[in-house]
Amino acid sequence: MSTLKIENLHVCIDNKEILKGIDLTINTGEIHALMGPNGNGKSTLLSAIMGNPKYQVTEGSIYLDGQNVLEMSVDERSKAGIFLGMQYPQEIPGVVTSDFLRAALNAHQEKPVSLFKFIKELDKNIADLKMDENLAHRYLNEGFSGGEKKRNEILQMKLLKPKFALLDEIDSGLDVDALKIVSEAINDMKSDSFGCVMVSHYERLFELVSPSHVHILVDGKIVLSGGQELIDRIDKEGYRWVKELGFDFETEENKQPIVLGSCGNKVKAK
Amino acid sequence: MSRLVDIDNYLVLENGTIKETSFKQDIQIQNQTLMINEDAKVQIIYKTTEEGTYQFNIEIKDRLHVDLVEMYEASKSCSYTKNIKINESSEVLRYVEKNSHQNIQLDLDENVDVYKYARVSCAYVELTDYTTLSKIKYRLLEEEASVKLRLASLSKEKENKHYEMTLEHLAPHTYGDMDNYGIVKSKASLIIDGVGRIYKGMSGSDTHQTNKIIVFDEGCKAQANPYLYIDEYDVKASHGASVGKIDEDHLYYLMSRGLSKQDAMHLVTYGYFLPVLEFISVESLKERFSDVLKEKVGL
Repeated sequence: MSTLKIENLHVCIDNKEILKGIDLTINTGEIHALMGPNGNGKSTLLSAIMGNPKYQVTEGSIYLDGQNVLEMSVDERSKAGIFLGMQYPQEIPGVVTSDFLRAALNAHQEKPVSLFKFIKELDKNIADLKMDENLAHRYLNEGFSGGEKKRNEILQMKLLKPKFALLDEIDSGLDVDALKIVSEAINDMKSDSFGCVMVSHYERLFELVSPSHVHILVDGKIVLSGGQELIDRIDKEGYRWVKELGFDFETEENKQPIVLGSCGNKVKAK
Repeated sequence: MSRLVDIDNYLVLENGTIKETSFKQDIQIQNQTLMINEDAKVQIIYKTTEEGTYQFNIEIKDRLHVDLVEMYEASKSCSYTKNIKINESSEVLRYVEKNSHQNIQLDLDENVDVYKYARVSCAYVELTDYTTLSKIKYRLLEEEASVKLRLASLSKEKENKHYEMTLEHLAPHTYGDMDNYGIVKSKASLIIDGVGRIYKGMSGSDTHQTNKIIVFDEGCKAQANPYLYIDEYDVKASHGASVGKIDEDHLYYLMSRGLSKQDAMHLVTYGYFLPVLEFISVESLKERFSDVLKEKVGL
């Protein structure tokens, strides 16, 4: 069994504190659901665990089986068994998906995977996820629909077989059928050597992949932890009742203008 | 430097003089000019072992389909001047590559004249360890002449590479398009000047260019300069230039899958140059290019 242990984690972005002391322990074999209104720090938590350079950890610790995760570079974290299924996977023109997947797989193994074995495994997973057969030859995420991008994240998770998968709104952009396929893929991964943290706003995903633990994160802190009953209540009543328990937080993300950055890429205004 | 298996016609020049020829099609050499008179695939190797200034010309007759692969292999500094004439309605696919493992200077001054309805696509591939000043000029001399260029240049160590890529529109209804891509590493310098020139009266012409340089390290020098000189109203023209670092979000994404920063950068570099392959029709050359690129970017 492996354990991912987060203690008193404080995280800033551009000197604004987003996470204000998170304590969370995840063991393999468990599925954790992370819920909370927009803009309260769920994605930040997952990104900070992965090591996104935009986020600064100012206090606290993250340990994976006694190894200090905060001292690891992003690729070392991946190799240690952490996987982040991103909310907005990057489109990388010029990088062919199969080249990338093979490089990623090789990075996780001592011996490079044989081409034959790689193609066999890739084809099988692409078929399981009912993805475009040409996907392997296309540029990474470029021109992929929202649903294809999310399935591509799941494909990578299946190939890399992490100890801990952090899935950030993996269900957004998926239609009902695709959601079923993705949920099945996550359920297939379930084992004593796999742990998962899922962020989602929809009860639907949690019906298909039932979590063993549920947490509510507001204003940078986990204010409630429990089981399925929390999901039911949020689905019926929203987050108002959490406020009534005495926690104060914003329920709407501040709308940020979209500006054109360099090279015409869409970037969010800081 | 080896002969490509799927090319029938082969010519080796050593220090400007003809060393070896093997032609299956109607191809002749007169006064330092290679005359191609029939549809053909031709490979030319320019070997240089002595310092000097060399000249060589190529003429492609009208209404032909020609694949031209040119490779420079030099162990001494040298400079080449070339005049190339592509006659009416011919279609030409060119691939120009320079090879050297020594830090020498290899300059190239190339003037390509393109006549009526002729179409030329050319890839210039520069992955080698030398310094260069390359002036490449395509003159579109008659109506409906069309040129498409693509440059892929890697400048590393202390190399100093400067390209002047020019499209001159000297007739109405002529079309030019170029994409010049570069990567600069360590202490190297790379300058790309893209020049599009449409003269007065050359209406209905299009000239487009994109110049992009990715900078890898502090201490590199990079310049992408787009120039458009237009003296006519009824034309279409566009230019773009960008110099920048590799996208941090791209690196983060690739690294989050276990790729080291080095590997991630290599993968992006490789992908950045890959579109040059579209300009290569010869299979063995495609493989070769891919191998050289992998070796040079260290994949």
